[in-house]
Amino acid sequence: MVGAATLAVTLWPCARGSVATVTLCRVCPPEACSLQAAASGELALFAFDAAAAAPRDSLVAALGMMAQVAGELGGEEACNDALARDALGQMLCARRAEVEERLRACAAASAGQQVGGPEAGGGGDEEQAAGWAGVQSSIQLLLEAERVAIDSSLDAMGAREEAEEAL
Amino acid sequence: MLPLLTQCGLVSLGIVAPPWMVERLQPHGLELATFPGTGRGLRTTRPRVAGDLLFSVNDCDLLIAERLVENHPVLRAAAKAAAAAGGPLTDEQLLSLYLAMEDTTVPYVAALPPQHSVLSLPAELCALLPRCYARVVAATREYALGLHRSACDALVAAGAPPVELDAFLWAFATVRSRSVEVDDDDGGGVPTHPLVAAGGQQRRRALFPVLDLFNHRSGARSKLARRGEVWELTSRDEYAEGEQAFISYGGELDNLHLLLTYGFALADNPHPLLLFGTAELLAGCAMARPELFSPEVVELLTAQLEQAATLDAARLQP
Repeated sequence: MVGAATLAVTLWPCARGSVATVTLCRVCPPEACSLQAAASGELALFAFDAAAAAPRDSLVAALGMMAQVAGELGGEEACNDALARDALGQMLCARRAEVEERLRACAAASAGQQVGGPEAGGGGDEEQAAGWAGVQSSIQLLLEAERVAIDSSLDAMGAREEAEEAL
Repeated sequence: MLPLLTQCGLVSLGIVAPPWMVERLQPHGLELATFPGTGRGLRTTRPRVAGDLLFSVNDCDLLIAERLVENHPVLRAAAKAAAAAGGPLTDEQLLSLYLAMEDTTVPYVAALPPQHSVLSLPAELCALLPRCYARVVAATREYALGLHRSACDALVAAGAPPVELDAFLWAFATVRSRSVEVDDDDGGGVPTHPLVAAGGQQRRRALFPVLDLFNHRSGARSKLARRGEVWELTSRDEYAEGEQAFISYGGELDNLHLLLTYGFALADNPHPLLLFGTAELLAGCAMARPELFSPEVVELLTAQLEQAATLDAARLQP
């Protein structure tokens, strides 16, 4: 186990060096670039393609970088090799739980229990309230679509893993 | 009165289109209507076969930053002031300023609807988003606030009054959701005027009056091309009389992208993309290998990755 101070020494030169620069460029994917531009470029986003039930290059690179970090931290090789898969599974499950929580909040907001009913969204008149209700519906659609995508991805990944083990 | 207006195409499910809009839609066999699920959109009043011309816009009717700078004295002065200060205004800023300043005097601008965009998303609604997405929304708003500040600085330097923040945010959201990336032979897709900088996505944007009423459908096969002085929108999709006609706003548009830019999401989006932030990546590693990714290590890595991402992203900025 390497302490935090040692880790800083180990990673800091790397984060500014050519190797890390290449990695981080790959971490910044085309699909996130547009979002980054929209969001002033302060966020790195890693994409998981639910249609393919597989991480895109950005996430593959980021998870690969974490496996290298695990190596720096003294993790065993076999464990480090499996980190990407295990961490990805945890990320999807965590997002699944978060989406469930948000959908419950959406239902409560729709019922006027938490967000103040017709005043939801802070709109003053009916048109404003209707507009924000539309946005809330869109958010709910996004969440529901994510839940479906995560479930099918987890199923597909599980089936793929079983098939690989059988081989 | 209502049935008569409906027969004339002036009212469609409760929408009264202004006469100038009707004049442009009718020759193309289109009318404004509201549709379940998509809201306001365009309905075809005649059957369409693949390859039909859906709509056309004269090039002179386009709102484009280069022309605004040439023709609008206040915008020209502001653009000059910003350029002189070393930070030229982007085409997004100039288009937004124009909409914010001309909101009642230009028929097209006066007819633009209110925006309920993520830029003004109430806290209660932001809390419904996954944390990672809420951060993107917050950062997008910060970006827009920065554009407003620099635009107002330029206006004041040019001796003009600043625009209100709410008006600018409405205009910016309108530009983001309605503008089209132009890739014609003249501009090569990039602003060509010395007083105009490229916007956030390094593309040249234009507003096409009326054409921006078409709604998006994933997979809609539409094409916008310039022929001489006219921009023609053709579709390879077939429509029956009375159906809503669609265009595609872009290629692989995931729901977060749609929500950020256009304010809606699709239940059956064929491009299901889940996006994760650095914190989620590290939390996933910590859950998978708690013995290695301790809270201290995660904190350290978070700071380093965010700094690296900021440095990396700075290279993307215009």
